[in-house]
Amino acid sequence: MSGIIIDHTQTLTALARMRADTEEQRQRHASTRPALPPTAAGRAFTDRGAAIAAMLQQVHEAGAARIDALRDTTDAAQAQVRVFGDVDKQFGGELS
Amino acid sequence: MSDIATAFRGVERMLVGASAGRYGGAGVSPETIAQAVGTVDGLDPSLLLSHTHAAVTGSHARGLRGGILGEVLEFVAQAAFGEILGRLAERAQDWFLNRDSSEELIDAASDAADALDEVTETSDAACGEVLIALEAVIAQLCAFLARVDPREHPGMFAECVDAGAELIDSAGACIVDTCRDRDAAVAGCLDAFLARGQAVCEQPVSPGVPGVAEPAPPPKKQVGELPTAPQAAQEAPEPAAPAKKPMEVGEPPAQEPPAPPKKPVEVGEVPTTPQTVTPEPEPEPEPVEECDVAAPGTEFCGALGLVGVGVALIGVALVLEALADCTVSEPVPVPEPAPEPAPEPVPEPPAPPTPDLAEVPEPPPPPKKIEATPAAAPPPPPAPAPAPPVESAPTPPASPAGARKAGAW
Repeated sequence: MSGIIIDHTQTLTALARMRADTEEQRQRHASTRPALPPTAAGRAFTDRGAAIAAMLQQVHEAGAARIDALRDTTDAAQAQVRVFGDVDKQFGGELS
Repeated sequence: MSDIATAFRGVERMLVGASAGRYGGAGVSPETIAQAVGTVDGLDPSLLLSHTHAAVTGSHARGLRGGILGEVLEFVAQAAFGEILGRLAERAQDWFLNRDSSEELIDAASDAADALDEVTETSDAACGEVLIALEAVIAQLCAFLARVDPREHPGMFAECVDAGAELIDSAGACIVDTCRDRDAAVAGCLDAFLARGQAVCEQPVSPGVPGVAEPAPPPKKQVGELPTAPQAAQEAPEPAAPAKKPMEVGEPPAQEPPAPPKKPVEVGEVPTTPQTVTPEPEPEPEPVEECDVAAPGTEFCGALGLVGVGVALIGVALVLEALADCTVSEPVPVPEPAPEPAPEPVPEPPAPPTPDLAEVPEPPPPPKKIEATPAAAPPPPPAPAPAPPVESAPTPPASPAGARKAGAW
C-alpha cells in the first residue's frame, strides 16, 4: 500500500473543476458557429466555397464532439470515484 | 463589369473611333475580359479567416492544460489507476490534439487568405498595368491617325490601325491569361486549405464513456461475512502490547548482575557460589523497580516470569562460578584455608610407589594357576599404578593446583 493515497474528496473536487471548465468550453464552442457563404471563395469557385464551408462545419462539430466526450468521461470518472468512495466507506464501516 | 473590362472597352472604342471604320473591334471582347476578371468576384479572404476562427476558436484547452488536467490526473491516479485515468487522459489528449490541429487550421486559413489577397492584387495590378500601357499607346496612335489622311496615305493609315488592333488583342489576351493564372492560383489555395481542413475532420473522434455501471454491492456482504476483519482488528493491538512490555522487562536483563540479590531467598538454595556473589550484592536499591515490574507481571509474566528470573539467576550463578574458576589462577580468592592443608600431606606418599612398581619385577605365579587362568591375571595389578601418577603429578607442591582440587572436593 505504500505510495497509494486515496483522497476521494480532492479527486472529486478536481474532477468537478474539470467538469466546470469543460462545460464552459462547450458553451463557448456552441456560441460560435461557422457560416461561410460559398460565394466568399469567388464567383467561379462556389463549389470550393461550399466544400470549405462544410469542412469548417465539420471541424466545429468535431470539436464539440470531443468536448462532449471529455465531459461525459469526466462525469463517468466522477461517478466511478464516488463508487470507490462509497465502497471504501463500506469497508471502513465493516472494519470498525 | 469590372474596371479592367471597362477600361479595355474604352481603349477599344478609342481605336474604333480613330480607325475611320477600318477597325471593327478587339478579337478578345470586353465581355470576355469581364468574364475572366469576374471569376473571383465575391472572393473575400477575410471571411474565410473569420469563419475559420468561428469554427475553431470558440473553445480552447488552455484552462485544462494550465493545470486542471494535471491535478485531475494526479488525484485520479491516486484514487484509481487504470481505466478511468486512461479514458480521461485519452479524451483530454484527443481534445488537445483537436485544438492543436484546429489552431493550425487557422494558421492555414490565414496563409490562404494572404495568398488569395496577394494573387488577386497581383493579377489586378498586372491587368491594370497592361491596360495603362495599352491606353497610352492607343491614345498616341489615335492622335497620330487623326493627323493622317487615309485618302492620301491609306497604307500608312491601315498599318497604324492594324498595329493598334494587334496591341488591343494582345493586351486582351494577356489579361485573360493573367486571370486564368490567377484563377489557378486561387483554386490551388482553396484546395490546399480544404485539404488541411479535411485532414482535421478525418481524425477519429473517441466516443465518450457512457454512464458508469452501478456500484458493486457485493463488498458489503463479503466484508460482513468475513471474520477476518475482526481478527485483524484484534491482531493489531497484540503486536503493540508486546512491543511495550519488552521495554519494561528488558530493563532487568540489562541489570542482571545486580538482580541476584533481590531473590536470594528463593534461589539461595540453588547456587553454590556464595563466595563470588556475596561481595557484589552491596548495591541493592534497584530491586524496588523490579518488584514493581513483578507485581503487574501477573498479566504478562506470571509464574513463567518468575521461573525465567530464577533460571536467569541460576545461569548467572553458573557463569559467575565459571568465571571464578577461570580467575582462580589470579590470586584473588584468599579465603580458602581449609582445603589446602589436607591435600598437601596426602599426595606425597603415593607418588614414590609408582616408579617402584614399574621397576619391580613381578614374582612368578604358580604354574598351576597360570594354566587355569591364561589371560585374566595380568591386568589388575597395573591398574592402580597409573591412577596415582596423575594425582601425584608433580603439581602438588604448587599452590594453585591444590586450590583447584580443594574446590572440586
